[in-house]
Amino acid sequence: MIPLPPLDSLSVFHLNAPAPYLNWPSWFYIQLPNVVWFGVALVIFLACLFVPFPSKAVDSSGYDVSGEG
Amino acid sequence: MVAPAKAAGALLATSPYASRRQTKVPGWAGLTAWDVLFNNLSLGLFLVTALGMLVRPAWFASTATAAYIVAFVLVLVDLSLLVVDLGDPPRFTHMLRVAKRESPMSVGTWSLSGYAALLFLVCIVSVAGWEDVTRVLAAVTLIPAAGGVLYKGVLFSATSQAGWRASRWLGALMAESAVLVGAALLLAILVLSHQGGGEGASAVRAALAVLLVLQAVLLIATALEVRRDVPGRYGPLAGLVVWIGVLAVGIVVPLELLLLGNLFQIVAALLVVAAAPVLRYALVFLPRDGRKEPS
Repeated sequence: MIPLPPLDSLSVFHLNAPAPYLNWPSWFYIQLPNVVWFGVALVIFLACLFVPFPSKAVDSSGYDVSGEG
Repeated sequence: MVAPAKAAGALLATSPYASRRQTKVPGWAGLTAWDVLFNNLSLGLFLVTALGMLVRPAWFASTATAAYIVAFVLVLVDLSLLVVDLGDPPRFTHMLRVAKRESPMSVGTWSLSGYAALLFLVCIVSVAGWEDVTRVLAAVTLIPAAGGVLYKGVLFSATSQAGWRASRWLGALMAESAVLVGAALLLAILVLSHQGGGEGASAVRAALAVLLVLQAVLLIATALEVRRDVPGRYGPLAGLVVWIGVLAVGIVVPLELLLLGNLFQIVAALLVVAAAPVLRYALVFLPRDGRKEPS
């Protein structure tokens, strides 16, 4: 993972043990990469709904559509 | 005169606490692993179905109601497991007396409860056939659903427990894995609803293939971190079983099957779901390495 910048020095984010998540901005900061990857997974799913994939078309007409006859 | 460092080393070597674990391991075991699984299955299935209905309602309209109901049943099982795992059932309702945004457990409790309540309404209006109301309600439910997916990774990795404490990728792995197993479950529902040859199944199949690749990347990143913290945690034999279960059965074989088209897509989807408990067990049991705990 990309190294976290030293935001502890700003006295806003407290990432030190034992419980950094008890500080709301710190929890958001810890959660941010997870949100990004969660978003990436959802974007992948959404993108696949827009990209045209060949789906198997079912021919129920009864005619020979192979072009050989 | 004895050097201080040398004296400290000698003290550590003779200390009765030297071989003891310094942190108390939580009693989280099999129930927690199944809780994580059912959480991921329900939330993942709802997320992909709701997004699919928002973007391509024509593709998923015939299966959305069934998917919502399955997601609701799964979250009921998940909540039951959570309550049982807490030991004392009222603890869960006690957590709903207050809302602490700075606590992942409080956020998770509220997210899951809100998600379950809203999903119940989604199921009702979906069964009633009120499509517009269903879409609006489902869109609103996406917010607590996202909270329910995301809180567990932080809950585990922001502790001082062996394995979890070093896993900066754990939250991302769990969040992505939820979408993955949700997509696999949706694909299975589409196939069982005789929609396996449709555009919806085709799109979900493609998404599943890409998500499997992403899962492999996040899994390896997590494994490298865990390995640095607790090398050889599961031993050679158990480690091999975990890797075969998670990587071979859960990722490589399904990916191969998906690339063959829609012929074996149901097998691929079921393999992804079947391998999901192995990963959850391996992650939840990380701190429990059998060492003597402080009494």
